[in-house]
Amino acid sequence: METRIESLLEHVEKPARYIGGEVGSVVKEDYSLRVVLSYPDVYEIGTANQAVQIIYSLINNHTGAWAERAYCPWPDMSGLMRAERVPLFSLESWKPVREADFWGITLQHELTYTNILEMLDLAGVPLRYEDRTDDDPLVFAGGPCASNPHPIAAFFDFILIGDGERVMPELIRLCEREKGKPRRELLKKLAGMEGIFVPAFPSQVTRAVTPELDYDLIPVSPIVPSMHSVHDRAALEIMRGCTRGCRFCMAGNWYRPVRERPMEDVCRAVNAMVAGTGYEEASLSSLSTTDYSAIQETLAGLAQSNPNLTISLPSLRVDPAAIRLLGLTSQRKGSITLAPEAGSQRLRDVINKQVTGDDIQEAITEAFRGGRTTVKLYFMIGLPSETEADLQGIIDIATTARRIGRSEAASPGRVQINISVASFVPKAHTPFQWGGMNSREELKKKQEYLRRNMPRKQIKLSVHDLMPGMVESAIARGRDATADTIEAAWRAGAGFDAWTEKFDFAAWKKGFAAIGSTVEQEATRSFALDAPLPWDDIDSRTGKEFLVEERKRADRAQVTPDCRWGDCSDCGVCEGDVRMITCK
Amino acid sequence: MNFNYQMRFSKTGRARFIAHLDTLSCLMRAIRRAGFGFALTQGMRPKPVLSLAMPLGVGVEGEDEICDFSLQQRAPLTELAKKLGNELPQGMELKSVGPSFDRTKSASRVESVSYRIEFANAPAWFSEAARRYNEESAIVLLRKRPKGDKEVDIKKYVREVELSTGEAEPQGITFDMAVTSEGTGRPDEIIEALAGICGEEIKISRIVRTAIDIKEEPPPAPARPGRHGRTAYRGKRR
Repeated sequence: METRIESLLEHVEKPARYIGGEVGSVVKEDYSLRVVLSYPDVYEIGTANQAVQIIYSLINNHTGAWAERAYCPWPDMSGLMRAERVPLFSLESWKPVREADFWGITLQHELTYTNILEMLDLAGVPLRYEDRTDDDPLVFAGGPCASNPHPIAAFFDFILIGDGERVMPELIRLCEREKGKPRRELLKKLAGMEGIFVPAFPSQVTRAVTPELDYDLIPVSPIVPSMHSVHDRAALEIMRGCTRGCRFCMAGNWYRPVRERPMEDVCRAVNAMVAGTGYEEASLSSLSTTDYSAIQETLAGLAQSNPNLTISLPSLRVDPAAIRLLGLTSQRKGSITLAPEAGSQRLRDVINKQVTGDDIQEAITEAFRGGRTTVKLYFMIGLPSETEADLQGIIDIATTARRIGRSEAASPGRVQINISVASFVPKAHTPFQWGGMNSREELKKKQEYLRRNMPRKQIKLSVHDLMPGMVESAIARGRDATADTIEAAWRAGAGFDAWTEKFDFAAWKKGFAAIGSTVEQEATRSFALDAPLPWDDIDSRTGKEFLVEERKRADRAQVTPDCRWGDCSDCGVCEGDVRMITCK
Repeated sequence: MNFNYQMRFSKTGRARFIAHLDTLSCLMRAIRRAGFGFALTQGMRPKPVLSLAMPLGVGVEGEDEICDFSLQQRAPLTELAKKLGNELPQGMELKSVGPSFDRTKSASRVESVSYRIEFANAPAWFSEAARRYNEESAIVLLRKRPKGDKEVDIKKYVREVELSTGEAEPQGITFDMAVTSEGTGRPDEIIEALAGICGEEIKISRIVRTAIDIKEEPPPAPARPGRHGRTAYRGKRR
């Protein structure tokens, strides 16, 4: 097998994607079970994913099992693999994935689903769980999109719902004990466990929640890819969950409550990660990093212990204080990205994005005063109740930003405002889960309005393609039958759908035709507030009544304050040992 | 003040698939992991001072590659060798590391490189092809480039190839390739030339760069008084 793989590598683009042996990768001689973990996209995208890193180090450091990795081969490689009959192999051992005991695949977004089928097929594992035998690995999934497992359930033996750290150790122990038993028997046992959805034995499943973020589970020696990856930096999750309560946000509604890591843990882990990887940059990641209670002290502490380290902060809040924080990070100046999401105060209240016009103006002013020349602003169109006035609001914010830039920036001529406009995709387990996506026609008109009316000088407008978003929407709120569309689309040639140049709408058209429907029909489907939803059997721990209440408040443009600073909004997530943890 | 070092390392096995720029990052991270601070370049975007004498093609192994780098502080040599040796990624191995007193980078002084090409099959004609290669006065190949193809006389760079018969060493050829100010060749071009001579395809199992030959630095220009009476030019500083 090894020589066959090597001979393929002579003929493909970027062969380093397939060689393994990276610093931080683990090779075990003695192990109870062999697990392969996958991100269903190409190597340089997949290695940047933190979920795989966390589970990889958890399995390798805390259990007797051995975790390896496999990513989706680029089409040039998969073509050769099929021609030469080389099955999908894991990077660490270069052994077939099919021979593993378990195969875990993370579901980060819907447009990676066809790659999952591609990988199963390359591995020689039957696509559907019903067709697998005791010789096949148990294929499981996890990650944010597991919140609605139905569209993809046909392809998995079981699906982890919620925080993987909570379920994984117990899962491995159980499988070590039951090794060699017929898979149906094992799956039946798994179906009774917390946070595990077994498509063969469906039942109500409650999301697993890890009550606090444990220092021991931080991947302090993460894998350092031997080739350029999309995030060439150390990444530490400093908190999980966000209670800002933006009504469109899947992650904010799903990963509740807020659990911050102690500040000492953050500093210790970042220093260990940087020393162990040789990276010059570390990212403090979370859904809203500037909300971390001790962010200022943490940045100061890190700057002191590691003066040459660049710290990057993703997801900046639209708020001048947050922008000032960047001054503490020695981050390269240049551009800054802010997300007001909607153009008018009314619509921002509808989506519960608690940002005022003044916040936006002050944040932009602060950015230009701080020496930046480019401000990127991120908006969505197609939000519930949107009118032309809201679109005009986007244009007004853009022109205001340009005016501020011209008066505040050191070189007004170099000021650049980039406006990025995506189409809103409603997601399961959010207050907007009942309403359909805008039709293609509506969204086209809205994009057209912006294109026609947005001033051009020093403002660059970019709108996202409509069709990938519609496919995402059709799958995100899909049902069991959606699996047939995914398989049909893959058979028609869809793959790497998140890559603009690879997205193949014709294939998806065929995919949806397989269930007698269209992309648009599925994407725009609305449910009545009291109608059963396909994902009702997944309990996110946030009560459905809370989501209904939030939906009604949205219709009245009424905001719900963040429970971190305001009153409890009674979402129902805090119960037993699950509660908000702040580090101060 | 910067402290200049030179390391020699090999990059073999699967590591041959790591491309040139990625090799640079791998080496930089290894040096940082070993706990040594880089000297940084001047300017808007300071970068660590590290360079390789000559890029190695993807898929080509290197037995004795040369890397120049500068540290902020003097490093004890045994410690540097030990720690660095532990930190190189799989497939890359440290051969030696020591201080460098050259004023210019190795990259600007490469005179020639040596290759060994091992064959997977054993074509009966290859000794004949090699003999004829050595006798030709010029062998012109077409180098395909996006900007327009270009003719190269490969004999300008590789005068002769030597056979290794497969008794003591694997069957194949070895040769030295000149690196000139006008350019140089690529190892696969030699295979192309040999295949062209006898009209048959050759299957290769390995291409290995065995050595990089560096020109000695010219002695420093004698100190001559500058316009203001002080020593002015002392060579390019790294």
